[in-house]
Amino acid sequence: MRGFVDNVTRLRFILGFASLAIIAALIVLSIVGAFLGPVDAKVMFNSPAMVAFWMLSLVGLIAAVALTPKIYRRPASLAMHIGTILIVAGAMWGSQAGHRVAERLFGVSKFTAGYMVIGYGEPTSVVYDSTLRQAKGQLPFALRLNDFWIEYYGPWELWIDTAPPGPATDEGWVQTRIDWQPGRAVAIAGTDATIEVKHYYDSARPTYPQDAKALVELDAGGTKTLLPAKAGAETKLVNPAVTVTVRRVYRHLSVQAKDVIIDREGSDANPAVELAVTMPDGKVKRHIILETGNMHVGDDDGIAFKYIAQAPTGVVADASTHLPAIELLVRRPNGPPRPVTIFARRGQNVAGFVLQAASPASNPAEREIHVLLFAPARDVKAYKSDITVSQDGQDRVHRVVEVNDPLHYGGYHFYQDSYDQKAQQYTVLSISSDSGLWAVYSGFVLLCAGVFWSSWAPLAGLVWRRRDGH
Amino acid sequence: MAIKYTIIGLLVYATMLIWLLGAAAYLARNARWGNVLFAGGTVILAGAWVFRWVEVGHAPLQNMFEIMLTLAMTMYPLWLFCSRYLGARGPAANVIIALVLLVPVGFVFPAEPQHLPPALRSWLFVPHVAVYMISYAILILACVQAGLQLFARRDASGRLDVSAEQSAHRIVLLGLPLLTLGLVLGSWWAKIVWTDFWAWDPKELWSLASFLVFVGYLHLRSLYGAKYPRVNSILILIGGVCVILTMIWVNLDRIFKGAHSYAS
Repeated sequence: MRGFVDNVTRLRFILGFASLAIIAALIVLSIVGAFLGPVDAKVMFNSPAMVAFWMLSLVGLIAAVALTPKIYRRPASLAMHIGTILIVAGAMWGSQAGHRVAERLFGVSKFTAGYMVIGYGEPTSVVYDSTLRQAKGQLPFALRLNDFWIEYYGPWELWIDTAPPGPATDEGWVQTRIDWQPGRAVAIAGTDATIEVKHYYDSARPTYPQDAKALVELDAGGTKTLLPAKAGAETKLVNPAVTVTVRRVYRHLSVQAKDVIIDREGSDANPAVELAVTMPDGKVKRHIILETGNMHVGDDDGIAFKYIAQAPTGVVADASTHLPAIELLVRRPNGPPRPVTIFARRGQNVAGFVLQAASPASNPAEREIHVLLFAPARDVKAYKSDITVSQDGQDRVHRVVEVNDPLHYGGYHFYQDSYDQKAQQYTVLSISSDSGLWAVYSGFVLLCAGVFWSSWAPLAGLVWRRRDGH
Repeated sequence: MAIKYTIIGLLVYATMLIWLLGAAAYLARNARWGNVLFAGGTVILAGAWVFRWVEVGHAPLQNMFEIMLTLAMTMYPLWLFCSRYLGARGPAANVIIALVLLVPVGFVFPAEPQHLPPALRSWLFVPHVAVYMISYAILILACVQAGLQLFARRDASGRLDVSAEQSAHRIVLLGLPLLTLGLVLGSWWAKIVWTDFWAWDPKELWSLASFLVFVGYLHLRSLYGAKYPRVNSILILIGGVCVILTMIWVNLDRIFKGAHSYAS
């Protein structure tokens, strides 16, 4: 019996010493990792040698809990040690190696991490690697992008862009910012005009008269043809020898699923035209031309399509567009005041109009001046992606994903990561497996509860006694 | 180095001056005046803190200027608690440390008000940073006690005065749960904002190292008690150095690239 007690005491002594050694080793490794940087540190901490170390730590922790009365007899101490075990085990389960083990043991195949590139109107299940080019595989469900937009802290900025004196050139333009306030007229240097902001809309859309006519411009190798945007309008081109027919006109095109496109009621926020291009061999190709670009990026058979917008006649607040508009009044000494509205366009950080055209012939001092509405790019408040998840043909979840508010579905978290910086036509979400997360979170709770209780309970006693003593 | 000709700048400089006088009072063994000046300076600094909150529209915990200001502000209340109930001593050292913390606030760190970028717009932002700042202030107090212990004298019968060792231990017990909570909140927040609850970035690893040093200290003390007070004290001081490195070096030094580097 004595021998057994001595052995247990010896084992506890060894465990105590081992705990100090493991803690010391982890401190040193952490500092080394800090010098290595996140990429190399991750590799080091997931290397086979480290995996052995983590296993050893787990074994040590379990042994310590089982053999040390100081730990298993005190709930707080037990909680913090079990919490630590759960955190390490959960983290290992959620690691790449852990996922491989899960696949081998349970046949559960999940991506540890990855990226999804989701374009407007293109439901996708594809997961890419960090280069966004190499596909890693597919999810058993699909995500589609209903809308992507950027929110800023302040309103968009008004700038004056003045051309340099002399012949027309792209360089040497001077930008000045206008400090605007509704109702205040600002004189514009270089002209006799003043600009007054009548109204700023955080989110608005243009309104068109009932009979407004938009056009589609077909540019075939330099030859331009205009087609009215009316269902049934048709024209035959020579080179290439195709017939272009307008199938449908949309006021707010919205893609619901693959091949399911609707015209959203009550909104003019996404005007578009659907064309049918009939080839010489009889094949028919479909093209969708948005006011903001083309939906189909690829082979257009030698024709460049462009939507020529109708001139809007008004502006109305519309919370669904997430695009601001600013109503201005341009006043000149000769002539009536001219109302102008600048509408921000999806995918573009700037919109504007020409205040004064260049006319070197009549007055060399008069330079070309543009008025621009600029997104305050330095002051972003949020990047938001309106996402719908569909599985087995049914819509399951509809959420707006933004930084600090990921979507949780199907064993994964989806995070707002990046977006199409050129035209805002797609969003990039990063995905992360949730394996092992519950163990880690429970471990956090137990660890914190245990540390607080075991550390602060004796102090509370001290404080209480001191208070009474005085 | 630049002088801040703003209201906050002036309040910070006023606090520094008052604390300087407070340190002089403590060193001249006038504890009463020392306490009045330490407390008075803290009240003025708290005014600057509130002013900053109103100015930027969110809790002032976003950049180094705000964080160090917050840290300096917590020193006196924590000193009051630790000296009254946990046996902490060395008020001069504490007010001087608080003063030193304010030097970069007053002269180095840029104080341009910034909106919170998307990554910081979470309810976890304030708890994670605030809990860490309070725990750092507490552990700095513990380091002062540890330092005092290293200079402890032996009495007539040769026994080492262990009161500093004891108070250091108690103060670490006060601070470690907050350090743990800060680490856990940070990890939880990382999962929400950065896709994974651990990114192995330098700030995380230094904060883990700091945490483990104090955990190691408590394990050591659990095994050997106060048998080796110098070892205990040195361990606490190593922890303090790790905390300072976590806070300062990683935020500023370009060689430590990582997810936390937006803080500059």
